[in-house]
Formats: sequence, structure tokens, C-alpha cells
Amino acid sequence: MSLRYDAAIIGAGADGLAAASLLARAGLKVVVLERAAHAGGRCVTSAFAPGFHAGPYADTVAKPPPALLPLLGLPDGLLEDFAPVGADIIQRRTRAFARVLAEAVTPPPRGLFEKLKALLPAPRPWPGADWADRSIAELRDHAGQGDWRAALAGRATDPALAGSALSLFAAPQARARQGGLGAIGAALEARARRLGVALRFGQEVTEIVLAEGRATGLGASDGRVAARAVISTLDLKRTFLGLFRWADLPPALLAEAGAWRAEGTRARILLALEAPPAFTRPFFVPEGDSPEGQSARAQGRHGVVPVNPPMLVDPVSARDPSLAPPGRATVTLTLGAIPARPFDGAWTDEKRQLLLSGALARLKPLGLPRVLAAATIVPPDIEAALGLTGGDLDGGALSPDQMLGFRPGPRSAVPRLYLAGPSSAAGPLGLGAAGIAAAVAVMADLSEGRRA
Amino acid sequence: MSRDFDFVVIGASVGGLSAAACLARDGARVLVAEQALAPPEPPGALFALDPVMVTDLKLAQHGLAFMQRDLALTGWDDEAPPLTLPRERRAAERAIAQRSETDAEAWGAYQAALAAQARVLRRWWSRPERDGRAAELFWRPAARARFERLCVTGAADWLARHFESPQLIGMLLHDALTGGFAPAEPGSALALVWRAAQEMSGQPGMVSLAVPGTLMAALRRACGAVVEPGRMVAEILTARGQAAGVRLEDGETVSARAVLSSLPRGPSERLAGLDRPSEDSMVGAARIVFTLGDGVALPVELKTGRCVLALPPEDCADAHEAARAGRLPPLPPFEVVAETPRRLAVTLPLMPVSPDGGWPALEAPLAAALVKRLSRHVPGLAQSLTGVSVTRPKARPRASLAQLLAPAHERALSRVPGLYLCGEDAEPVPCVSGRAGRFAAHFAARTIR
Repeated sequence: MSLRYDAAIIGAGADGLAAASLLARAGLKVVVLERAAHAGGRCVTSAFAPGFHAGPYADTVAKPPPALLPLLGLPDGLLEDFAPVGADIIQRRTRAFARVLAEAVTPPPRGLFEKLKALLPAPRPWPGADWADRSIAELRDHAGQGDWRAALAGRATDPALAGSALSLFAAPQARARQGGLGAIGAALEARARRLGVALRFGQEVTEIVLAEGRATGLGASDGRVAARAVISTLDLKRTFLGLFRWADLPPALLAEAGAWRAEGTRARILLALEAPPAFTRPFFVPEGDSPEGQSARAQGRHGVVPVNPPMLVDPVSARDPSLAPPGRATVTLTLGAIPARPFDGAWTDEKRQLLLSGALARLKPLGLPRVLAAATIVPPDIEAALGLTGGDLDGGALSPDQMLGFRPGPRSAVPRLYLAGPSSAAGPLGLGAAGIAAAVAVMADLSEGRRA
Repeated sequence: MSRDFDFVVIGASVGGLSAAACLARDGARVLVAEQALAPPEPPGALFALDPVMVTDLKLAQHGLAFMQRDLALTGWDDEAPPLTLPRERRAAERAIAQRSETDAEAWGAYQAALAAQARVLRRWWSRPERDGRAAELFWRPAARARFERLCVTGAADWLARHFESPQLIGMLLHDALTGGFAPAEPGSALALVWRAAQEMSGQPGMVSLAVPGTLMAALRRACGAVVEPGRMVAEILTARGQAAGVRLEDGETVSARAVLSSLPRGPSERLAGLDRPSEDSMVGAARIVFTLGDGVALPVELKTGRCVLALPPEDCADAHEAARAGRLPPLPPFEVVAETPRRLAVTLPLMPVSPDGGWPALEAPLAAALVKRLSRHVPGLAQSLTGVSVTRPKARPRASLAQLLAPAHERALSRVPGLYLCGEDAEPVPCVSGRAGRFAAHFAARTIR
């Protein structure tokens, strides 16, 4: 006899935990199934060498709109700005989130209402839709954009092309004051536990159970979980192409998920150094866009591992000594334009080693202390660990046809299945935003169902 | 010395002459001042003259003749035999089926998607009085949503949604690069729709190649205006902030009630004393004409249609990036049309406008590389080459979604009242069609009334 939950959530990342807490606070019975043995998703800090800690996938996250912070319940002062965040970006994120939220609280129209809606004037364009044919190069001198270079870190965005401005929406410009991103994950997990969320680890979800066309539960390693609503924090491709029998889905949805472009371009290198390096602040190599960056992007496009990928060098332990043993230092490198699938076959240890030695060679002129240990993480590693298609932390290319209104969710074409992953509408709008939007939609629909 | 006209048109281009003809037809006195002694013939690959202009000005009666109509598109690929797409749907499907069965099945859906958008937008692009937003033409929410998504989609991504064969995607992609779009830029998919809309503009067979020389001659005959070659305009005169005539280089002043310019926006406004920071694109289209002697048998696809290099999107992106950086792309996309059996016109849409080291140094290596490349498909080309002429890319504003969707008056009007733009870059995508001339004439005549 299985217990029936109000909501079952796939994935205990920031979005899953934020959604779970919000639903539990509203008195719903919530279960979160997580494949890994720990919570946090990308918000983790791990020991990559004895005493040395860093986030394997990222050090920074997109700063959520200010109104969301109380909903996330993070301790005061945990989030701080990594790079100057533009007021304009925060404002646009806020307005875009308001729009997602407005759609989340309105149950989808049915029957006659849908026909009437066609006669009404078109809704106002998305905040940021005016950026769809602007480039970062055009916008970077405008006030209010903050540090545009953060939007390029770990990506292959060409700042001169029209449409690249939308990457600014998802610019990761916030970090944890202490303990790396893992501190954020831990805080979210602790709050979910406090609110009575059932967290089950080591549970790989293998299917979303359908009954009469509705999502009614999850099939996982340890059996089925029945629930009135299902929230998936996986990306669009994983959710629909991986957890359903294709025959059960409408062809249009399958085509959309199949055509969705998601491919990671990010590699991370974590360095354990014998002594603190000469630099104490993060910096970009090259500083802006340059012919070097251009040729790296061209190489990445053709599946060649770039010789000189653009990178963000962050001496994380200079600001947060807890990340390295006393007298030592942890430095992270975020490399962009890295092909997820090299043209000459899968990523091998040899290729990882080449990437590492190339990066170290470029840091050498800066007088880098001796490297005691290093970890290299490439897109397939991110895919394996986080389940993101192609290892794409953005859940899909941030091109104008895959951003804002063109990202699905929180409701999906399958009733009672909600999308809260990085490829959902609120995904690029900041830490936990997609989870909160999905939770709001679940609450709206479940209360609607109760009334009916 | 001073004369008086109703309108002065700067430049006897296709746009300039069509504007002059439209105005003169209504009885206005029009002077066309052309800088060159013998105005050059526009590129031979005229894929879509404005059908309204062709019929309204009765150009056929004035001698406009077409060599070929309904040019079929052929994609050249190094790894595969040429793929030719005839206009007839079943024939095209049969051709595609030899590469990929699924693509042949998708062809109908692709054409239908293209046509659905083009049918609606044709009204937007062919009538000068349209105002508001293009999206408002789509009143069904689903159709509008499809349109809005298409607007911001890159052509390469849009094609990849339909097809799997790299050769097919590469050859269709070529038309989206016109105007200097990168294959992933928003607006480039809409450029394909724009092209489809031109091809269906009312008359069948407007995808055509005029007999060299007949277009300009017909336009001049139809024009009914005074065309003066060898007259360069030195200044656009203004009175109370309004364009009121021109001063020619030799000192003569011509007064007029409005001035129409076939120069790009920047130079036009500069002539009127208004300067603006240049927003010109670094990428432009170059044109190379090869004249051939005896002994070349053109391949059949070139005799009856236009051929493009089927380049994968990544290579097009590389070419765009190189051109932007002022370098000659190692593998540039190009289109070839045989204007006559002895004359091959090659258009290269992604070329640097102001390359490092300047154009003179680039012309020879570019032509040589192109001959080598073309020889793979046109055997014997190198041996029978008798002449090469290179037209360098012109600086013009970069192609953009905003330009494609702007209402006609935004493109035709300048910041100087009474100065109207009728040149190639007053078109949604830079091209020679004469439509910009018709639109500029419409607005100029309206303000005069």
C-alpha cells in the first residue's frame, strides 16, 4: 500500500527544494526523489582534494528577484554579489518572473474561454523581448547592465551577434558568502526538512506514471510513488524524451522536445595550490571579446577542444578561507566554448589532461604557485552528475527562440505535470525561481480541483 | 544657373528610376541626377523584381526581357552530387528523396510553413501604406505565436527543425545570409520567409533573370523623366529644415519640392548636412563576374538555375565571424548565376566591408580561390577565363529583425523632411527590386499633395 502524496518532485536541486518547501509550508504532503546521495544539485561544494573544497559545476548562480528571497528562506547575508549586477537586469528578471507567476496562478483556459481569449488583444510582450535582436556588444556600454562578462563565462555566446543580449538575463552574478554554493544547497535542504518534506536519496526516477492522460505519480528505483501532481526539475528533453513512453505524448510535444537545443559549453578546472596566488580577485581571460575568444568559439563549434578557451579565473579561497587548508589556496577556472562532444570521439582522460595543461600554461605568466591537485570537469561529467542534457546548466541554448516566452512551463502539455527545471520559463530568472513558479501553479491547480 | 523641378532623384539605380517613373507617370517633372556617365547594370541575379512596378510601368512593353524564369536552386557539395530543387513540389521531393527519405517527406511541410507566413507578410512588404506591427496581421493566436517565434529564430536552427540532410540545410541556408545575417541570428529565418514572399509576389515566374541591359533600358524608357548622367550631387539644399533641391558638383542648383535618394541612409543624410554615427555593418556582399572564352561547357544546373555552395551552418558562422573581424573568410558561401553562357556572376554575401590591408590586396587572392573552388563544378573554367571584375561590398546598415519588420515609411523616410530613400537598403533586406523606389515615390507624392 503506497502512500499518496500531494506532490512528487524529481530532483533535490535548488528548484526542487524551493518548490518542496513552499508546498509543504502550504500544508501539502510532499516527497522529493533525488538520484544522488545528497541534495543541492549544482549547489554543492565538494572536496576535490584533501582539505580543498569548491563547487564542481559552478561558483555562482543567477541572482533571484529580490521578492523571491523570503520565499527561498535563505539565511540573511548568505547571497552576495559576485560581479556588479545591473539594476536593469534585476528589474527585468523581476518583471519577467511576475509574468510567469501571473500565468502560474491562472489555471489554463478551457473550451469556450479559449475561443474568447483569441479575440482579446495580445498580451504585452515579455520584459526583455526587446533584447531579442540586440547584442551584448550593443548593450554593454549602457548603464544598468552590470558586468556583462559574467554572462559569457562558461558559455559560447558570441557577444557581437544579435540576440546575445538575452544571455544577460541568465548572467550568474551571485554567490554564497561562505562555504560555496553548497552552503546554499544545505540551507535549502535544512529548510525543506524542517517543513516536513520527505527527501529520498538514491532514487532514480525512471518514469512519470500517467492515468487518464494525467500525471499521477513516479516510477523510481524503489517502486512507485503516487501523487496528485508531479514536478520535474529535469530539463525539457530529459523529462519528455526520457520519462515517458513516446506513444503516450502528443506528437507536437515530442517534436518540440526533440528540436530543443541543449548542449553544454562549460568545463571547470579546480586547482589546489600550495600557496595563495598573486591575484585575489576574479578575472577574465581574455578581458573582453577578442580574436582569441572568436577563434575559440569557432573551434568549439566544430567540435574541436579550443587551444585558448575564454575563462573566468576565481581564487575562491581568497575571499572564503574555509575552502582551502590554512596557507593554501583553491582556484577555480570556468572555461567556455568547450564542445560537449568532440569531433574525434568522447572525452577521454587524455583530452581532459590537455585541457588542464593548456589552462595552466596560460596562468603561468601570473606566477601560479605549485599545483598540488587538480580536477577537470567537462560537459559529459556535468551531464552524468546532474542529469542535464549535454551538460548544459542553462537547460538549453539561451537563443531568443528558446528564451522567455518560448521556454515552457510551469505547466506542461501533460496535465498535473509541472516543469521547474532550468529549461522552464523561470529557469533563467534566478536561483529557485522555476521551483517557486511550479509550486505556485501546483497550489493553484490543486485548490481548483478541490473546489470542483 | 538654376532650374526648377517637382522632384530630384539622386542616382539612376533601379530604385531611383522606378521612383522617377512612378512620379513622372502622375505628371510630375522629375530630374534624375546620376553620378556615373554610364550607370552600371545591377547584378544579374535579379531574383524578384517588384511585380507591381513591372506591371504598372509596363516594363515588358519597354523592352524588359527575361532570359530565365523560375530559377531552380542547386546546392553544390564537395561530398555529394549536386542537388537541384525544381519549383514543382513533386519533382523537388523526388530529388530530395535521393538524399534522405525523411527530408523528402518534410519538404511539403516546410514549404507549407514558409508559404503560410509569406502569404500574410506579403501584404506587409508590398504595400507602402501598411502601419502598426506586422504581428497584427496574424489574428489567430496560434499563427501569431508561430510568427513571433519564427521572428527570433535563426535560419540554421529553423531549417534543422525540418531537415536532416546537411546538403539541403546548407543550400537553403544561403538565402538567409543575404544582407549579412549570421546563420543563428534572429531575423535570419524571417529572411527566408521574405524571400518566399518575393517569389510569390503576385505574378508567377518573378524569380527570374533579366536579359542583361534590358532592365535599365526599359526603366529609362518607361521613366519619362529627365535623366542626366555624369551629374554628381554635392549637397541637398534645405529650406526651413525641409529638403528643397540639390546643388550639383558643377555649381548648378536645382530646386524641387522633394528629393529622393538611392544612396544609403547615412550618405543621403550627410548630403543634407546631417551627420550621424555610422551604424554600418562590417559584413557586406561582394560580387565577382567571370567572363569566359570558348571551351567551357557549363553544367546543366548552371544553365537553368542558380547554384549555391551548400555550406554547413558552422562554416557560415565562421565566415561571418571572419568578415566581421576584417578577414577574408577561408571558405565563404557564394551563389553563382550564368548571366549569359559566357558570363558567370558570383555573389558572396559574407565579405568584410573594410578588410585589414584594404580591398585591392584581397581581390586577386579571392578571385583565385573562387576559380579553384568553382573549377570543381565547372570543369575547364580556369583555362578559359578571359576576364574578372570585382565589385567590393558597400557599407550599409546591418540586416536586422527590426529592419525586416519596420513599416515601409520607416525605411523610406529620412530624418530630413522632404528627403526620401529609394535605394537598396530601404528594402527590408538589401536587394534590387525597385520596390523601395515605388514606396519612396508614394510617400514623396503624398507629402506634396
